[in-house]
Amino acid sequence: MNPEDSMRDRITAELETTRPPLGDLVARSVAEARRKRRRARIGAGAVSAVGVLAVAGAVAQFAPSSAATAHDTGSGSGAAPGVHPTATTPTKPSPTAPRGTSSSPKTADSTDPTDPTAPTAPTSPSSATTTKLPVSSIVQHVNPGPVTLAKGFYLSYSTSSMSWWTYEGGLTMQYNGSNTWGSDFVGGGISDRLVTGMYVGDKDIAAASMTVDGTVYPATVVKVNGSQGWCGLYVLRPAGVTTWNTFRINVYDTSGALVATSFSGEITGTPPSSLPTSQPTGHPNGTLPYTNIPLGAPFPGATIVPPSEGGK
Amino acid sequence: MSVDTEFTAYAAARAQRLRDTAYLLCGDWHAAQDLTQATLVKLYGAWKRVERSESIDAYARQVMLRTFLDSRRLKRSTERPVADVPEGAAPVGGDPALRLTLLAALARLPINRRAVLVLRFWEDQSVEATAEAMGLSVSAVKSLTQRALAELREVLRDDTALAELDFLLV
Repeated sequence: MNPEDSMRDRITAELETTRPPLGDLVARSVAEARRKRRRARIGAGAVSAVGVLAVAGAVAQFAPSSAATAHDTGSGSGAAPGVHPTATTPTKPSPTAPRGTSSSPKTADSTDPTDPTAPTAPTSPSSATTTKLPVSSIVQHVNPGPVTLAKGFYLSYSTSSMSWWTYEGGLTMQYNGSNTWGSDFVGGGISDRLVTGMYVGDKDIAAASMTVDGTVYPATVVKVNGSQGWCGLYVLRPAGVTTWNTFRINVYDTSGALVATSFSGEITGTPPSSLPTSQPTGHPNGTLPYTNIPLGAPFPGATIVPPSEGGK
Repeated sequence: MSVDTEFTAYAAARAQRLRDTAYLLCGDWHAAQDLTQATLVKLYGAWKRVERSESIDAYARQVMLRTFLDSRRLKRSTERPVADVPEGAAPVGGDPALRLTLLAALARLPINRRAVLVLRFWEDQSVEATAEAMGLSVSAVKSLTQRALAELREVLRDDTALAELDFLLV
């Protein structure tokens, strides 16, 4: 017997004296293996289902967005064709610019290298996209305080007001707890690259679009924590895009229905309030809850708050 | 024949041997039971692929070794299960009944040295096969084997059987 065999026999002998019964080791192993295989299959199925839903959601989000574009650009508002070949990249920000600024549009500031960026204020993740919505849902819940969108573009929120500030100036819109324009209204304005708005009403706004000279931008809906009865809207257009002739703001609730709309610009065609009922407005009877807020005037009780930083 | 039937037949035939190997690696029958079960579960998951290979035993041995080494690496710093209280070195000469058993001495070795001895002398693997199974070089396996035997000899002292194993180191 060689040394290896000798060692092996010795080990075997020692094992014999201490080895406990095997018991149901094999049966337990097989049962555990089956459970593991079952869990793996369920997990793989769940992953597949999530993948299918994600693709379906993306497709559904895309298709209504195109419909919204057609609606906004063909609403009979008489808006001039898009004069700015801008991208339709969703961007961010704020409210009412004096109409007069449109007559002498500001040229692109070549010293501003910034691009639309996310707000720096504490925000919660965007809410899930509702497949019925005609535009992408970008909803941010922020704490009261300032929001820096890009260099020279600021927003500031309180529980009852929103202020914006750009190179052209700033303005505060305030919700004073009452609504003298109706149950649902939206107003807004443009200054430089910043398009802002404010919705007042009791609807749960899930999405908004801002159409500037025919280009549709999915707007960011800002809900200030602790506030009630209003929400802010904004789009920060791409760098270099500063002029405008017409713009429209549409806000949608969670079902995708159009809650309020606002148009600013010279109306040369049929007013939106007399749209034919076949117009795909999202409203049951085709009549828009049309509101046209006078631009350049703050809401009652508004207080202009100077920016804490920035400016030209 | 279904996968379950084939696997169950194999497991029933090999479970004892696998558990013995697991015991030599772990030094504890409870841990050996767990290691054997973990090995069989992994083997079941790969059964369709493994049964077409030449050696199911080699695959099972490899799975067990990797599972053991992985679990030891994870637990080495926090957990060290022992079946008995630590013992001192066996007395020189004296009553053979008091002599430390080979298995107990084996359980005292570091895991890498223990694994090398188990593969080389229990599983009857060549140096090359041991090196491949452990992901080491041939020279590293030889070195580990030499040190493991030296350590065993130190613990067992007068065990003449171990002296014969020195011939294996050439």
